Amino acid sequence: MDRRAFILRSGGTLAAVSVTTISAANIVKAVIPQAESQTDLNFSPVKNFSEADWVTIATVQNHLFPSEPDAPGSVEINALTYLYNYLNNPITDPNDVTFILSGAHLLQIFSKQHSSNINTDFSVLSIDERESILRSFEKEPEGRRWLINILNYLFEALLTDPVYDGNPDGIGWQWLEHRAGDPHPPVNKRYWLL
Amino acid sequence: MSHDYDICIVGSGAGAGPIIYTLAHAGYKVLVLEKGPWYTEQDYFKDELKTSLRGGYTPDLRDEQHVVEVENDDGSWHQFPTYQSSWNFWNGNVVGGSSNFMSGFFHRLKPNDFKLLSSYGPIAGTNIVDWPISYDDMEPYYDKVEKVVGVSGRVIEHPFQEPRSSKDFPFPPTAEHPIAQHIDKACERLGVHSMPMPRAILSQPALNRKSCVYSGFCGSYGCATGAKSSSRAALIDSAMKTGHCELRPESMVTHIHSDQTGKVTAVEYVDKEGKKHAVDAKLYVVAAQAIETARLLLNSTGPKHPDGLANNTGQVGKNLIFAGGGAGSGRLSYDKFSDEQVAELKQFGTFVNRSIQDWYEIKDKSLFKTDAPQKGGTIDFVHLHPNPVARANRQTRSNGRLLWGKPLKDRLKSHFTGGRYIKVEAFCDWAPTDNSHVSLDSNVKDKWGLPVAKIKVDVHVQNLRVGWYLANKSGEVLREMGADNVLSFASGVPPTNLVAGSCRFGNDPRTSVLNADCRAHDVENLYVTDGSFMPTGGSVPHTWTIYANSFRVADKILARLGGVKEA
Repeated sequence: MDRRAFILRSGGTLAAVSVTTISAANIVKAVIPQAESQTDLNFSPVKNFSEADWVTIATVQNHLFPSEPDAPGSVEINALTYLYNYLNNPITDPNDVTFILSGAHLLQIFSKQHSSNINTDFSVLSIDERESILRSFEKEPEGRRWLINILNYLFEALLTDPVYDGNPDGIGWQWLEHRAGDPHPPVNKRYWLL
Repeated sequence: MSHDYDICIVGSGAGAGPIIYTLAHAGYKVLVLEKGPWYTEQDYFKDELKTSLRGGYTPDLRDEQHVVEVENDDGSWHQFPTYQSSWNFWNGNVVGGSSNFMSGFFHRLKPNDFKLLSSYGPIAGTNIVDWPISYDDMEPYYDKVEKVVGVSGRVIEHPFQEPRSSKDFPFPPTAEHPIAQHIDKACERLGVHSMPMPRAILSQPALNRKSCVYSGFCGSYGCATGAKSSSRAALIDSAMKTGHCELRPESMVTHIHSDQTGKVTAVEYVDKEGKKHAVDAKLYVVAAQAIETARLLLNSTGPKHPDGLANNTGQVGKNLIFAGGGAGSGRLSYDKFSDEQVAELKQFGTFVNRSIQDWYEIKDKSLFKTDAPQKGGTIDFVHLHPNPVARANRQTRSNGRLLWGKPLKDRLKSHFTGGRYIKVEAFCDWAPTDNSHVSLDSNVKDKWGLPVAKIKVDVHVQNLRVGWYLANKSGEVLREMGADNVLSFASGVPPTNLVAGSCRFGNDPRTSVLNADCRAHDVENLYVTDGSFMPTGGSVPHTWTIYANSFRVADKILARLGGVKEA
């Protein structure tokens, strides 16, 4: 099931649905198997990412960039697909891949240590609890650096050319009234192919 | 003695293009070795990832990096490799070099820029010298650049208008954004001369190239029409058509060999597959940009050059300079303007094209503690760079905390849709000092096993004084325009895309690498024609002067080779 089909089946059209109700776990179920079906996992840079890791990342993406009725959020901009594809690209610096994974692990541990219900996974915390954990996580240098990176990849999914699998149909450009320039990069001339 | 080529040129940017063009058209056998790939108009897209976020036109820092040394607040120094930092000193490793990605703000140097020391006197702690040539020597070549490379603009009278042999530019100004009128009116009220900024961009089809199509993405981006006057579009494409020029892309020059007499005998390079080659020529030109040119010479030891080619007086790499200055920005908030004005301000694609040079010379005793005039600089007004990811990333901080969630989204919405931003770039001299230089790092090597360049960066206080003066003046103009959120500041951070010096020219071999013709003092068949030759940089971007000087040196080389060959 692709992302759009998943959202439609979850309760209506993009414009009408309150997409914040879609759990990160369900987003991961919709996005990751499809992405993995297009890659050889034996050689995949993201082969060490577990489903729980992706759920943590998707939860943070949704929290940092939530969907709104009149503004796209992480789901609408294909943030998880975008990040998966970036990390899974052989040209990506392996240090970037390791950094995202270790940050997710760090947050999982940090969350269990700092939440009121010890051993409760970050992804099942309430919005207020997540906010509290992330604000504490932000105070740790590694945590802050990781959050800045997650924000950056959200912006890339929001505002780079749709040929890179984020920003579907220019939804981010439309929201921010951004004029993209011509010519756009074609599929066969994406940055790693030139 | 027969040679493979009449001339072998290392690099293909603004310092190389005029040599390539001139000698190929004169019938000489030219070889160009370019480290990067050969992209054409069909390969350049408005792709922020390729252009800006993934370093798509520069080497992977894992393979090739630099080491930077900067001063701490306590006066000590520390160094770090660029892979472990956000610094990147590479600029466009492709055919045509970084001229493919310039914004094309083109200003000539002024006559006094050629004699900074005698015009304004010495400044303690700097190595400022006069040039060995005058503005009059360079003027015909500035003129040639306008006509051959392509510069658009309109000459107006202003206090620092430099002498010109042509009355006006050969091409009319590029289309201007309505915001230029706001600048003009504000300057008029302030009694300041707002002048059209010359651009190295064709405003109409000419020179076998297309006109600008005003995509809105120019600086940092390769041009998809050929209107931008890159070395490749303006000069190399033409040189290739002569049949006398051979260009080998993805050819990394690793060593320049020299013999017992000190002359260059061959250039060694590695191709894309890692295979080594050597070629020889009558004459050699290095134009790999100031840092890499110095590094290549320092790495090219020989029997007569034990400390590096052309470095027998220890001057290679010394007196590295950048473009000094400041920056500023302001926002014309839409709620302050009529619907008609807002519609105008929202126009996209055309250029601001406004500069101020009223403060190219400054008299301000309160700041400089002297009645003597000081060398000032240029203020250029431009659009805020449109790269949206970069703009979004600048919205994530608030009072030391990260913004996210709805507050972040509200700020993004306001930033992108609430007004038109205008940016200021102020240019002043970056004073050469003993502590700004290029050397070879003793530990870090590139993927070919060669020592990388270590770049020591020193900021003289005079740069900052002048930078602040210009930044404050630009802030006054922005406020007079009705802008809010006005920020203006001087910066001691070197702009890594505006680098020069390192092999400066002069009459004294003890204090310079090159003679007045940009030939190495101690290597009679070697020339250096990128921005390395500049002892001082003027208070403008360097590119027009690099092009002009390269045309000047091309004429010297052409005369040495015997002039234009019979067809």
